[in-house]
Amino acid sequence: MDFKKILEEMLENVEGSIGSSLVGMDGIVIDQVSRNNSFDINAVGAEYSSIIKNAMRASANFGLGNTAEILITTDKATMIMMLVGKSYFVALALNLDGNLGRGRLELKKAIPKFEKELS
Amino acid sequence: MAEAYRKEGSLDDAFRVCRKGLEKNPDYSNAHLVLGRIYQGQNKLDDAISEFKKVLEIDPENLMAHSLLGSLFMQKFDYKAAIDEYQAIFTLNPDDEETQKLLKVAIEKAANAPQTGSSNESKESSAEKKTDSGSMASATMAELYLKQGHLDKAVETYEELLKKDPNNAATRKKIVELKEKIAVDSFGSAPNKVESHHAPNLKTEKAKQAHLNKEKDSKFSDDDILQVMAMNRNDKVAKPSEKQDLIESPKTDMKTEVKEPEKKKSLSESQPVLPPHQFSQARIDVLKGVLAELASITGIRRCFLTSLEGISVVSVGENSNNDSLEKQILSIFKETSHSADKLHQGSLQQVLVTAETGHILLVSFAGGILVVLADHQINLGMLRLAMDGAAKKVEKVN
Repeated sequence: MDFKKILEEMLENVEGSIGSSLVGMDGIVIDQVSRNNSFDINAVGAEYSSIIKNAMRASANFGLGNTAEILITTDKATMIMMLVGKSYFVALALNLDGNLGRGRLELKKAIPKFEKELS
Repeated sequence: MAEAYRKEGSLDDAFRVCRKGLEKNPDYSNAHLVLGRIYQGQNKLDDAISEFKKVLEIDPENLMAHSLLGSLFMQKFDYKAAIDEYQAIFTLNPDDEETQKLLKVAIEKAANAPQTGSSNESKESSAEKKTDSGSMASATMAELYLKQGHLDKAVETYEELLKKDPNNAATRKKIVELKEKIAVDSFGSAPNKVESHHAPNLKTEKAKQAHLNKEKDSKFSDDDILQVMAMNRNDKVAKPSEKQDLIESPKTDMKTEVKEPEKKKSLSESQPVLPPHQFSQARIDVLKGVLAELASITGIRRCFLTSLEGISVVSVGENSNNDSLEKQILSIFKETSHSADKLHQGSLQQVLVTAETGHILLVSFAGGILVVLADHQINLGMLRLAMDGAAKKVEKVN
């Protein structure tokens, strides 16, 4: 499995990225890469999995269809999460000065790679 | 041995052994328990009660004695005493579902018991009474859960109550308040917590006071039960037509809580919904203007500002008036905020959910949460810029 390689590639290509992870919808992290020891990307993935489920429900209830992406901005970081199929999501954490647009782009590019590995 | 005789049906032998044992050891609680059961078997209810009470004098946490006393009091139609016993078990073991049911039945029976009610009450049909007492029992149970600090169970009970009576604004309000309290408790303090959104409300204040006192006395007193029942009697049937009379709060307060059926509104129809009192009318007017400006951006379907308690303050654009959606949105924001806090990521600024045909943007804004629903084609960069501009305008007003 090349999950780590795909995750590392994303980090390399996105300025200001802190870490990335591939997480099951049950919150269990499949693989992760982190550049910052103080930032527990494992915990992030697990913590936000239930939020993704809630967001999916809200999207459906608002008639917006299936959820594709969730972006969370806090005082300290930005987290982008994109769905990989129905059972997984990939998360990318960025510093506040990180390149958000590039981050979204790299995540979108990585999704088919993950899907291929997971199929 | 006495218990063995009793189980065999040899009550006289059982009685003799018990008496003999108690002569030697009057504080032997099991002997009193068996003796009580013998009396119960002989239908000597008062003697049985007396023995079970002796058990509790020796061993106040004897669940069997409480349970047997509860059932005896129910037999004697002394529902208040039965409630005391069941709630004692409930205090010792809050997860005892059987006792929860028995307690609820006792409260219902107590509520249905003849009393010197008002003339209005006497006019109620028996069916209505049954429904109301059932609801009151549930509400009382919820309040009792609250008093013991079981907020999650209280929420569950209130939600069941709301299913039966979806228009009960008071119940809905309590659920929102409790969920807020649970969220606050679970992560220390809520983000951008607003002070209070409700106009003074005597009943709410009473309930809060009861809740605050729970640490002092985790066991319900007779007065507690009666107070809660009385409280629920007052607001149990908060039917829309009666709400204005029942609740001593500004009329606008109720107006916003009673949602109309789903309907669409034009962009120009800003909804003057229930202002939590920290949102003054002047502030709401400014917010309306700011939101209307936001809504004029191509691709934005709807903007609404909700207080941290889940109450709509201002809404502009397509309006579904769907209460549960607003609560869902609120819970996403709170849960995310909780997670961010747990992960030491600082306070939550915004959550953007992108779906197949649109976006939901949640932003901490003006002491509440601004929710923007937008089409998929919207330029997110422009939207963020517009949001920043809106936030600045609101800050100026503050």
